[in-house]
Amino acid sequence: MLPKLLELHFSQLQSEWNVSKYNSYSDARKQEYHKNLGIIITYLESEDFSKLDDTQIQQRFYIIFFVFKSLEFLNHSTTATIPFELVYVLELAMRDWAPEDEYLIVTSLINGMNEFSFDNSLTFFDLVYTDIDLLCGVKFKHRLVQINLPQSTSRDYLANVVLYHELGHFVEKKHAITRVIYIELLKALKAGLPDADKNDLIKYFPYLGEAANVDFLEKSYHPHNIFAMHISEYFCDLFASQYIGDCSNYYLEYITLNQPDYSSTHPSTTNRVVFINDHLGNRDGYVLKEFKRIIKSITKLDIEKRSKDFTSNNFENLIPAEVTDPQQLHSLFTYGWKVWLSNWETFAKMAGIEFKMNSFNVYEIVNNLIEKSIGNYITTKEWNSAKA
Amino acid sequence: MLYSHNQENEKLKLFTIFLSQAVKGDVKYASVVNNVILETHQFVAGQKSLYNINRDVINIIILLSTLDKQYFEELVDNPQDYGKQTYSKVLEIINNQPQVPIL
Repeated sequence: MLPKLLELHFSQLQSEWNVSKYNSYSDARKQEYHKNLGIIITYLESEDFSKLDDTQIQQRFYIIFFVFKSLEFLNHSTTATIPFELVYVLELAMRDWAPEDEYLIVTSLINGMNEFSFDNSLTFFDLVYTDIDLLCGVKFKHRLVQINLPQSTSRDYLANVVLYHELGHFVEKKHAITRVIYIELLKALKAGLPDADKNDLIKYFPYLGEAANVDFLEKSYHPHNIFAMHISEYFCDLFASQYIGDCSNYYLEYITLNQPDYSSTHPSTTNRVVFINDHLGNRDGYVLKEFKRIIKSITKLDIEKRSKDFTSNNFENLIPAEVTDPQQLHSLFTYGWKVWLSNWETFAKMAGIEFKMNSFNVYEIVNNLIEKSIGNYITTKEWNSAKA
Repeated sequence: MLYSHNQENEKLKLFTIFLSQAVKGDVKYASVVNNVILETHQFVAGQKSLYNINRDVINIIILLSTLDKQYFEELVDNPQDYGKQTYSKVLEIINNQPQVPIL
């Protein structure tokens, strides 16, 4: 590998750093992370790349990639850009599955509709953290959990229910859940399953009906193969349903036009909706039972309802909901969806609005009220902590 | 996309870089790879299972155990006995693995 190419890579980073180095964050942990990036860059500046061998160049390649990737997300997580309330609620859910104060949710706002995704390239890569520590003497107290979301709907709390699904990808990667389910399901299938269980498995993973596919998948694991990808998607749907019930089904069915066929990356929408509805309706078949058993064995946690419902007419009276329990924050999304799917004339009548409301009026009201409800909860909690 | 990227391949690549450093005698890197090699041994020997091996490197451990189960089974329990010969052998096992297609 040419040291000159490493010089080019590093120059690109320096150019990016010139823009980012004065970033300001509302979270001191992000500020500290940012400071560490500065130390790494200073270390790399002190090196003579022309004297490095191939292995050493590759090590620097990973470190420069790491700093670049960090900045990509930190630049969208500054005081001015981060969807603060949304991230606050997602961090609450994250702590159910990663209670250690080790992870920070950061967002990257993408220029494209429905571009929701989780990027795990910085979160679960112990070797790169070790490498940075050994080479540059920098230890990171926190790791970034990177969530991509569309810029145009970053404050749309109805659409953003799907971010619970994206958070699920963090959880399944942290606990390597997909990998274990992958092995266990294939092992059980090869060993011979009762017809009902086999049919349930083939219902969700139709290609497992072919023995040749089963053999191939057993011998050739790849994180991007169809079976691994589908397990991961089903898990994330299941994970999200603990917090937002079936709300993401509404949005998913619409944006995929209720896709009846599976693709190489995702199961069919029809199957995904059935999977969640069966779980929420306590109609667990073989696949759901196996998912839950394996998740419990790895994480010691049950798949269960993790939001607390509340009764309120506040949104109908155009005031934020009074949230007293953090688990109720997740229910704000279901409350918002309930209002959105309700009869708006009744809503307008209850709110005392005399003009005819259109969908955009309701859209703005619901999103503002969810955001203010979360904001009020945070402010009150911080105020009470300060008083104590 | 200009080129294909996946996190697990990157982990494996960095692991091979660590192995190369260990072969050169760098003890800092040797201690990191020792942990992975030891866990692979414990996994194939049945002392650890899918449910309690290191989550971050689970795919490396499973891959190594599949590529040469017998070699890792016969390794000793004490990582202090691993050395340049061990690291070279593990590197060779990884470098000789067949390319995995995506279905």
